[in-house]
Amino acid sequence: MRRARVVVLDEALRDLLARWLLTTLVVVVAAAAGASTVLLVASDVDRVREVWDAQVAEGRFVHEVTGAQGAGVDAASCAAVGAWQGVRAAGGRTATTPVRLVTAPASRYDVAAVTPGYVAVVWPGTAAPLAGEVLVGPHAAGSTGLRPGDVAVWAETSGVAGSARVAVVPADGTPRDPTADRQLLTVVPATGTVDRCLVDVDPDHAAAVLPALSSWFDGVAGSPRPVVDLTRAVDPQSALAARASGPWWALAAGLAVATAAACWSARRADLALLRLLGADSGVLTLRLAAESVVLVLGPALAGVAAGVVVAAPALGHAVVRDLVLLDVTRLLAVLAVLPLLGLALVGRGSVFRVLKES
Amino acid sequence: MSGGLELRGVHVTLGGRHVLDGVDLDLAPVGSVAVVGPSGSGKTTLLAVVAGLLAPDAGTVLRGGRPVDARDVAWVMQTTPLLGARSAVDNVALGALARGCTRAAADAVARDALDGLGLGDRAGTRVRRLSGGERQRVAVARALVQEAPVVVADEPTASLDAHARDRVVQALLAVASAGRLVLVATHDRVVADGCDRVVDLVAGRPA
Ligand SMILES: Nc1ncnc2c1ncn2[C@@H]1O[C@H](COP(=O)(O)OP(=O)(O)OP(=O)(O)O)[C@@H](O)[C@H]1O
Ligand SMILES: [Mg+2]
Repeated sequence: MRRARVVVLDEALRDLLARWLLTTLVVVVAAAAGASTVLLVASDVDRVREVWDAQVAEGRFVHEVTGAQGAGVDAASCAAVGAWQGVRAAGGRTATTPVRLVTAPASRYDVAAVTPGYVAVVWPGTAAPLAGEVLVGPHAAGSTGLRPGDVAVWAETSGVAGSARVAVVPADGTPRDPTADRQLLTVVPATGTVDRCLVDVDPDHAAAVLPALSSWFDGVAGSPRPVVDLTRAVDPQSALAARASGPWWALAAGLAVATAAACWSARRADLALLRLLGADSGVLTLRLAAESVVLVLGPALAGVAAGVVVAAPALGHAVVRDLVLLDVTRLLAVLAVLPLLGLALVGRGSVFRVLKES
Repeated sequence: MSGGLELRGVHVTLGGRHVLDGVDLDLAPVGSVAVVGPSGSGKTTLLAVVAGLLAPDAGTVLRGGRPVDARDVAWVMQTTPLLGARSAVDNVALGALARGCTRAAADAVARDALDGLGLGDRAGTRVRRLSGGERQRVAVARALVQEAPVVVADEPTASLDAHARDRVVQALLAVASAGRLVLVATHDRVVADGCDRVVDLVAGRPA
């Protein structure tokens, strides 16, 4: 019984090798189907993901809460929001003082006192300056020549002097609150009021956080609104739904199935001959399954593997990985039923007729 | 008669035409039988029915009192189905593999069979490259190595010269004398004369 199976597999391989041109054609199409599904879906989804990440970085999920008639918002309430689940950071300015730097007396700058969460909202990942330290916005640093480690010395218009060590200069300006680019920020405790409360919401929790934010500030402040212009924003959900690579897996599967079917049709008489020699449907199914693996499933998997290697950087992102996995699974699921299609193509009908008419 | 073939009232209609019209026929389990008759008289159809490849519209075909098992019949067709891309020896070996031989044993009997039919030197050639007569002999060789109790051959000598024809006839008759039933449809008087019995088919019935 086992030997009979080995003979069937051996014969399948010999037949495929003997008709190597046809075999190669089917193998190449199947491998291309696998590789192209991974590559197209990965690059397509990754493009949407890139736009999305850029939007998030720009502040698509940063919301501002302003007090009624410019009255400001309670600083402690604002800071409390920063501790919520689904909120990355929250904070604002408690005071802004115009100053002249002794190294650059010609221009006017602002020293802004901000609550501890503010720096994390405006420059995510940047450590907030400690007491006696100052963060210098990149534009201010550029025009004054201040660098980390320098000591900034200034005089208020009232004549009061101040100084602080420059702890950090962010590399790039922030689209989340461009005013900060020209300011020197010192961190103060969250007491009193802030001019407006900036809240960086985790995109995955936005649906829950935004309503909570509205009710939290209900009555004392205007409703939260995004700091970036949402009319320019791309909706990733609809962009993904409308992606050009969406139906590709079906097309690729169709191509691979069609070439395999063409290959079997071309060998219809050969396979009928096996039935003439006593191959029953079990033997025929084993044979077609083996041929499916060699002709289509194996090459498709190899194509997928090659695609995964090439698209590895994009596949590092969960959304890309998930959609590629979904489409590859669909592709392979269709290809897995090939033996049944083969059986329908070459396993039925009168052997006598097939052989007589071939 | 155990193992013999018994056809009773076999009717086959193809495309609205009564190709076999009530055939009654008893064939001994051993021996050679030639089926002759004009073209279109139903010889191929009769052989297909005997081989269990075509179910009659009416009537019965029994072998040793049971329906014919297609695996008990080796079959050489008028237009011979062969794996064109494979070598002659591979094609013949299929017959031996089908009855459970190992690859090595199948290759050995295949080479012997090809030798016996004068094709020893063509064993490794792809069937696609063989002449019509050589292919026909490959098909005969394959039927022989199947070692089925019944061998059915539809005009196995149609495209052969006298010399090759004699080899094929000899091989088939050797099978018959080895204790099996050989059924040959033929237009060739020489082939028919070599057989133990001749069934003359006229208008879908034995005359
Ligand atoms: N599938 C079919 N549909 C319609 N008619 C058919 C079919 N197969 C065979 N026939 C007809 O049945 C008749 C008998 O065919 P068959 O092949 O048995 O004849 P034959 O005796 O073998 O002829 P030949 O000596 O030419 O091989 C022919 O007239 C043929 O046209
Ligand atoms: Mg005929």
